[in-house]
Amino acid sequence: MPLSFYMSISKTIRQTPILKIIKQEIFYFLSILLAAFIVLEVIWPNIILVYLNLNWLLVLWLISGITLLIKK
Amino acid sequence: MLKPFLTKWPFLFKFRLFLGVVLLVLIGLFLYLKIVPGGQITYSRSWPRGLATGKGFIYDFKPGERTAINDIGDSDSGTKANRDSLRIIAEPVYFSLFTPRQFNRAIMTITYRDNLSSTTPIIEAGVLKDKISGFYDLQPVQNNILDKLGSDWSRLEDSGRSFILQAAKNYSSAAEFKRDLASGNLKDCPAGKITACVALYNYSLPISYRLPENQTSAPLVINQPLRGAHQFYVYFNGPWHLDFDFTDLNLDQAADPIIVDVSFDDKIVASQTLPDENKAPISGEPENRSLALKGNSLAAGVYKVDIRVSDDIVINKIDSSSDKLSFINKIWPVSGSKNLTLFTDVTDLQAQTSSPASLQSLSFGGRRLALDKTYEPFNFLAGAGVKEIKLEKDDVVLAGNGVFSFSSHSLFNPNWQKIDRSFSSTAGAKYIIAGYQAPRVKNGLKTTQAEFNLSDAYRENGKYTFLISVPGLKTSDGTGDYLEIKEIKLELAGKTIFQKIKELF
Repeated sequence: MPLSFYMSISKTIRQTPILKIIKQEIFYFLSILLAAFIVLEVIWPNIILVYLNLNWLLVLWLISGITLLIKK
Repeated sequence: MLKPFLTKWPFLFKFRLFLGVVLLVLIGLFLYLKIVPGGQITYSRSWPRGLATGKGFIYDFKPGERTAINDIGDSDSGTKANRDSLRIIAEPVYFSLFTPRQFNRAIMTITYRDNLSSTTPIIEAGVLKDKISGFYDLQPVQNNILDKLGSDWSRLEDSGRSFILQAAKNYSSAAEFKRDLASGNLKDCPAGKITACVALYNYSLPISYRLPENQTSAPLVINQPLRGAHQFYVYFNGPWHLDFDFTDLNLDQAADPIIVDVSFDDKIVASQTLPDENKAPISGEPENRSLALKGNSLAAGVYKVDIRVSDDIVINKIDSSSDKLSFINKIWPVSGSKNLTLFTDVTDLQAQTSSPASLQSLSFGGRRLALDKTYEPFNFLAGAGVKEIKLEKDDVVLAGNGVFSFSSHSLFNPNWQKIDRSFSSTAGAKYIIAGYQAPRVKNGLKTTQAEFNLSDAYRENGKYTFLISVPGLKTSDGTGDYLEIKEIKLELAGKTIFQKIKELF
């Protein structure tokens, strides 16, 4: 099973620019995560901020977005 | 089933599915932490904070000038200790505990190192119970007086955390002592003077004061305005009344409701509330209000009156059916009258003023003392017994462990002697009953626990307010004393999600 999974990934890598897809998907993921956290924070203040400084997530999201743009 | 997923489905789909699951898990995790379904959770704050990026649950240590945490890393010679801890250099220090939901009980565990002198033997922690009057439920953290007497006096274990200390070994069991205490005949104590013979710390006993038969009480009117929340004892026998005139100064934005509770034997027997429509906040235009309570005391005894108001309210007049009336622990006479005389039994008087016009030389127990700085508490010590306080100008907050009144005839203290920082084992107490556990010491750090009932604690915007108090700790005395906090941990317990659901149906 791990072998077939590896083969599946290898095949996909050969066919598409996988790194670009991963970067793009991570950017989407971080966008949704940031939006979800902001919505949760608006509904229940401090629910996220006590655990995590959202600025760090915002910086990560910006880096991810800039990387994506530079590659394009 | 897994094989087709791994081999046939496109990579993009699988990757998105993976990220989707991560997203849901993260959101679910935060919702779980918001709801706390099991009803129990622990929050902590330690110094240094490590890798934590969030603001944490325990924060907002203020006022900043009473802590030395801002000195972090400002030099490379000797401030390493500050970096590793929160230094409390003056008291009290307040902090907030954010909780995502309500809890009923909190156990606070404090790990600290104390660099305190013999003038600051007590450390206490408290939770805010009443926002209007600023009442905190204080619990012991450390009491060096009891720790020292614990080795000098004979100790009897009582239930839970409480114990009895006796100067001479008169009793061999707590049950025997309590039997004599209930009958009012303790060994080595003069008859009728039992409240002066037993000192309490974090322990309460019912008040059983009776006015001596040769004394009677007459009606009393106090026309001296008093600012903010006050509590007083008053002795009633038969029908009674209490009439109050208040003035709302309208100096601050918040509404100023007036609540007066009259209690007997720790049970409220009469209560009145005057809500504030707050039509003219911060206008500075005084607004007069009045309130009256009456009742019939079936048994003669001491009533406790709790006037719960903010500092924006002045009590202009108190009209009482009894002149046995003494203010408890604090009195704040205001409104510019000159040469005021008060009577008190406190031994450690604290005087403070925020008004430059009230700086003066006051007299306490016949000694003249300088009150020469605003916003700074001044402590004055005197011997036991009733003493006079003479003020040249009012608007001074007078506080201490005891009672205050405007005439020596009115002054009476029905309560048991309490252990405070000025307590002396040679002052007459033969027994001590305390609800206290000494801190554990490990590697030079002390650790102790304090338990709080949060069900009636004040909570605003999801935050409880706590304080750490070290009576007598201040920077102006130049002693360099401080309390160094390494960790504060709060174990909270409340209703489980199943109990909450059960309540709905």
